Amino acid sequence: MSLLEVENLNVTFPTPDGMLHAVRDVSFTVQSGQTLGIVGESGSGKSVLMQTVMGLTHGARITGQAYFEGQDLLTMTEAERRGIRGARIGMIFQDPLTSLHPHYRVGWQIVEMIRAHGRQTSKRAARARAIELLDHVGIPQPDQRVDAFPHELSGGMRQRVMIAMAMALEPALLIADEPTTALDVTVQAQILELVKWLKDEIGSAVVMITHDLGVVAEMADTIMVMYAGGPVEWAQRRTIYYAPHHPYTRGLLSSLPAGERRSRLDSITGQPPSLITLPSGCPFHPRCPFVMDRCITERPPLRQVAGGNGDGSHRSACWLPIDAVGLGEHVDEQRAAYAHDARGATVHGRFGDAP
Amino acid sequence: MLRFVIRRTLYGVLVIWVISVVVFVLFFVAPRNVARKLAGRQADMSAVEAIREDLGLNRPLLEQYGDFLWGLLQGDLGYSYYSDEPVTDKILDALPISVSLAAGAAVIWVVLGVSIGVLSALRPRTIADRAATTFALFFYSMPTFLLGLLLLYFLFYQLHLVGIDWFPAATYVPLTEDVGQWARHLILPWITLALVLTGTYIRLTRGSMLDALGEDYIRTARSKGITESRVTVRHALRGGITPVVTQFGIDFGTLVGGVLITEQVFGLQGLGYIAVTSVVQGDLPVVIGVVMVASAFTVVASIVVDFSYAVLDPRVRLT
Amino acid sequence: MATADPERAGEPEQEQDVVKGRSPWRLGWERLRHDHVAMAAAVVIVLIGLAALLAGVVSDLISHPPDTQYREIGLSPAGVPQPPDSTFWFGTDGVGRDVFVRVLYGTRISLLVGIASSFGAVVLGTVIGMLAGFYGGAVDTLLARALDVILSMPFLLFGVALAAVLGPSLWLVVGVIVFFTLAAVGRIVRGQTLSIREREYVEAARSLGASNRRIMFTEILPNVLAPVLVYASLLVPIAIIFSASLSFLGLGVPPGTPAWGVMLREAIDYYTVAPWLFAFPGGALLLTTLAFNLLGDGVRDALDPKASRLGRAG
Repeated sequence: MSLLEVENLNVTFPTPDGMLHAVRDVSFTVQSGQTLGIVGESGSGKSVLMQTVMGLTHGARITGQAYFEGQDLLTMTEAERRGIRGARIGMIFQDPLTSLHPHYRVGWQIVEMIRAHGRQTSKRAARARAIELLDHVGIPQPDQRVDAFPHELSGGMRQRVMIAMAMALEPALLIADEPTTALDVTVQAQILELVKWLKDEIGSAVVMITHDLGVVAEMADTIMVMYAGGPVEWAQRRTIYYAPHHPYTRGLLSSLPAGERRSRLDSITGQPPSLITLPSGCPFHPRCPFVMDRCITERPPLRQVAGGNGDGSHRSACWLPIDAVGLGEHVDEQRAAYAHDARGATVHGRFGDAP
Repeated sequence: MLRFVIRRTLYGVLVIWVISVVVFVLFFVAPRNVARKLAGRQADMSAVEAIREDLGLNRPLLEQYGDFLWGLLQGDLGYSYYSDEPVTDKILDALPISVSLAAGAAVIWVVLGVSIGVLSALRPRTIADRAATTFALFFYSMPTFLLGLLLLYFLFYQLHLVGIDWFPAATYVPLTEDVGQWARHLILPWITLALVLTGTYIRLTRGSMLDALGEDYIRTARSKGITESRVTVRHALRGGITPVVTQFGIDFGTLVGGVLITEQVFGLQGLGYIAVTSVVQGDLPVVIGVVMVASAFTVVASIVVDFSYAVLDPRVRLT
Repeated sequence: MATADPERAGEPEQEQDVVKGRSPWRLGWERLRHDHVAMAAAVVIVLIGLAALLAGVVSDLISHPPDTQYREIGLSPAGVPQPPDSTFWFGTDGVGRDVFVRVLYGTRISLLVGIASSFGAVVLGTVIGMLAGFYGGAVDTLLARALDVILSMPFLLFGVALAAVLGPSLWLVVGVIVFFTLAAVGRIVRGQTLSIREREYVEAARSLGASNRRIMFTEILPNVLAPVLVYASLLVPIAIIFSASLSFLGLGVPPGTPAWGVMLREAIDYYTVAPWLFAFPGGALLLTTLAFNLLGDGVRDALDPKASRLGRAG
């Protein structure tokens, strides 16, 4: 049994301008102790996806299933879900300054977490545990910092407090939503290292949500790339980095700073589409350098891609031939040629030139 | 901290002093002829002069102000032109009435305003929310005296006609004498004053609750698996209460210094009532006394509000 | 968002600019136009305005001047006011005057006080706030402190005192309201000016040699206008209530004037026998303040969508 199994999840929000389809038919699994990276631009639905699983989206229409340890999170009562949140699933968020309550001492906030799921824990014991946790996540002088207010700590310290809080009850799953985006570059690596270390120590699974493929490069076992609310590519970490299939994944990769990875596809132009009025066919087609006629009319399903891990676990939602995987000019030429044939028109060879 | 208190107090004293000058000058720029009024229509000039002399109205303005200020420093606000009563006594007699009125109403409007505001924010755009905002706007638009007259007409007079005297005509029964009668006689004025202010508090609470509920720390709180009522009260309300406290401090400070209209409508002889009466009579020492006391309450309230910022929000430093 | 707007058809702008370049004012107006409650309130205000304009005409038509005392037909033999009937639609008051005509005339005073004081407070408050925020230093300290003192004064008590000293008059009431509300406007404008003063485009204008006055009018004024307008619209009902309250205390417009506050004060003596005496002027007063508050809320929602959460939901 997988730890978390999401099936055909759809999330739509009614807005004055129409239905906003934030998450579109997403299925994935997370195994115990494993790390899944969910990667996409802002507005790709990655945060809404996991917040829905946690029961934190309001005013949305939700269909599908999300089994956590065999129970469907989406159909259980709010009280049952509350028992899981915090205790079995911990969450950390992007901006630790706004995510911690500015009016309460950090110790209080950790104690609240501990006592929410264990009323029998005395305040004294919970406080001692909070200090222990702060020490554990690498906060110096934890017996003093426990009485600090969030604004009295640095950004990295605050995120450590968030992590201490999320890990307080040793959850089976940790959801980390852009945990390093709001931090200084120098601190980012430390925080990632801490998450990785704690995960191994406690044996939790982690879902790491990020817009930056570099963040999950070190720690993810599996990566799901999302675009416009839906998954566009799913593969083992190595496969995503060395043999990506979907042009969007390639665009994300080429925007990484690492010099060796830079192909002649420089970056992805244009804006993510509106989730209310999606483009026809493949939602990525207006920005895709390899767009074909079929992409405009028909939405590609997630298909197995050749090669990869050889176990069929590499899937991509793109009409390009299933063997067009990899990086570098060779693959680009191959793709461009295919797109040219399929479309019978001028090739848009570079992301930079795409309309 | 100490610096803040000293600085803020000095500034408050300065404000009160400026206000005293304004009031004093005002009454001498366009003086009402108090002496003539006191002397009566038939009195001759010499009688009027004698009264002016007696009240010290013939002395230079600056000298009169100096006397006034000297008295003020000693806690002496002078004597009423009309009753010869010390102004301090008059104010001390009236103060419990105004405080009773303001405090009782405050309990009602804070409880009503904050709870309706919170419930409204929890279910935005529902029928209940719309009803609450309509209620708020209705009473916000209602002139106090009109509401007072309406309540008097329906809850006092009409009920009285059918033999129900739940709400007696407002006369003041001191709290120390009989708590039950004190409250019973103040119910209508309390409702009047409270309803007029409730609207502001509903709107304010609803708005800052909605802001707070949208904050990231609320998402964190929910992700911790605590109950929704705890999220609402301990997290959202705690995060959004500051503007409500500020507004309350200012409103309460102003009201203790005289609830002019409600006192007038219900004939309660609080500070506001004696202020209006003295204004009409031109009883300068009483007017100045009430204005000074009322201003002092406002100034103290604003200091308390500033102070409460620091108590409510650890990020605020007092300097 | 990209709906075609026929009003803009003649304007020489590119197609895509219609979406991006639509001014906040136009957006605000679009939002206001779709706010049914605010539009209904606007219609009520227009009707009240018409009543004010046509009070004289109506009074002539039914030949009941506002100050004529119909002691013969307007009062019972015992001298009691008459309830509403076909001659006196809203009944008569204690001295036999036609309440309907007087309520109509009352709209004039309420609108005049409401709009004149709101306008005065906004103009003075904006000037003071802009001067304080723009020049800073001693000017700012002096003006900001002055505003503080005004805000520390018990508003109504001072109004009462002033009215008593200077004698009741309409313009005094307006003056008092302007004096006590300009401080709030001044504060808002000062804050806005302080932040706008530091923005790049103001720096740019300055480096291009624009004069202070020019910068204030072309760069700062347009940016403080929206909050000020919102405040102005919410100030109208406050001014109306304040002036009615002063009149009710006998310290507003002179007694005998056909103003709602005065009529309500006169109604107290008859409230057991002639409830219509406070029902009609009271109803008119409440309708007016409600309409202005609803419109004011709509204007705020339209110009400042973030703040809309403070007010009515939709």
